[in-house]
Amino acid sequence: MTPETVLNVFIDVNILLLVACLVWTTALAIFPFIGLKSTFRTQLFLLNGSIGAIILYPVFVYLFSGWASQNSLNISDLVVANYLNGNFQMDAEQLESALGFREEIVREIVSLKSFATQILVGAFAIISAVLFSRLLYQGYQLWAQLKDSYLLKRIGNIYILVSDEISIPYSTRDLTRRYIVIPEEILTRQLDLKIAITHELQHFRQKDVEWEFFLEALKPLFFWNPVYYIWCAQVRRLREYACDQIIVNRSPYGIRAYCECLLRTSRSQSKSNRSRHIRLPSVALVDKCNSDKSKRSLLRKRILMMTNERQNRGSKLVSALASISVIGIVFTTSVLMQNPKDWSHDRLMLSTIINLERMNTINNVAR
Amino acid sequence: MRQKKDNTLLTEVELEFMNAVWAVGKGTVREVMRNLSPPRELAYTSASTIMRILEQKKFLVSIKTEKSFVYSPTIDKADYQSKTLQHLSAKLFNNTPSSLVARLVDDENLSDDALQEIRDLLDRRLRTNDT
Repeated sequence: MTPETVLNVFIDVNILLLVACLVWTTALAIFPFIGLKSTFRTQLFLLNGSIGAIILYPVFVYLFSGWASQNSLNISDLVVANYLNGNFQMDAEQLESALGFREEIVREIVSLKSFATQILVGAFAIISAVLFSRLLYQGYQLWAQLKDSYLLKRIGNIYILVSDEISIPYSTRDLTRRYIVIPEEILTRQLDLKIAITHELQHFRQKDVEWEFFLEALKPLFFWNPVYYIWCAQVRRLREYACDQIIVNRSPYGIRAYCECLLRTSRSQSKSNRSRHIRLPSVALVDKCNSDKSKRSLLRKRILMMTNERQNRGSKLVSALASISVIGIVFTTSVLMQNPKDWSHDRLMLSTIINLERMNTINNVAR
Repeated sequence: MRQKKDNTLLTEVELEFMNAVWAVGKGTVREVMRNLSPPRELAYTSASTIMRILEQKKFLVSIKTEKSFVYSPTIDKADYQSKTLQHLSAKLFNNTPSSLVARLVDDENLSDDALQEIRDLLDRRLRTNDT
């Protein structure tokens, strides 16, 4: 695998993230009209599915790029075909340099010839290394916190631990075990204890802990991409909405008791000076961020969502169609983005036009 | 690096349990639960976990009897009060207990009775030091 290939994959993933974000934003606008407005579990599945499609894109490209190349199904050939059909006006040389822009960038970064590129790549490497070290440190902190906690109960491979260092319950995992860590003071509030454990168990069912680990692991590579932060915020918001919705619908505690538990937990975090305000790779009952304002705003939104009038379940068929559409768009884009293996007939035509224009210019100068 | 965990001081919940243990002298989880102030509707497992935490922090020791564990404190309430005050004095009053007392006396919320109690305590301590 050459450095060019690695860089190309990296660029592809970033572009696909942007495409997935645009598709997702469009889907969010359409959801109310197709009865999927309050179907948070489906929305979360869709969001995670589109990201899963990005991870699997090399497989898809490997399977379909040959066929796509034979049929000139790639963005550059489609643009050239439209240009030759006169669908848009542009200088031929400008068009070719635009089409070769990405290749030029990749060459420039890999060769590290210019000082600016060296600075850019150096800064990226340093920030990535710092973020990666931070990730390892957070992992160590988490391990230490689990080690210092006390076992309350074990359900299969889920260990419910009690910690006197935290004020917000959270769930996390290692390679083999899953953990729900609850603050010691919550032991004195039976209902809150039950609600907290139910909430964290639901996060396990939704595989939210695994997704959270995945999000955190991507940070050292995608820290510079704003779409990554938008995606993280969306996933974190949706997983709480989905979890709240399921618990409120299924559990016997009722919305009021559940919301009050969230409020009490949030208040106890604000009051507590013992808890460590370091974001560990985990999923918490209420947001563990340092900013009171953003914490309040997410909590407020969650309570508003739960107390919304009627929440429909949405049709399974519509959900399936929406999922196929979103994931299909991501896959299709990944194939269309690939460079053609050979120049197509249209591309040769473009090159001929450029050469003729050049010859024309030289002849004019000679005259 | 990660701060070393301070196990010498009790959390609010642990203090509630220790107060109950100090009140009964020694007892089982259920006996301690009955003496909690304010009374709480606790699950036995929750109370038992807190007692085990206290044992692991070495504030309690347990002896296994036929039916259950009997817990007894390893530290007197007065000793713990001193330790807490020393900690408070060290952390908040730069190791100058006089500042701590001055702060207490300056506090407008101190009633005449409380002030008289402090005065009596001071007299007692001074007498002890003299002898």
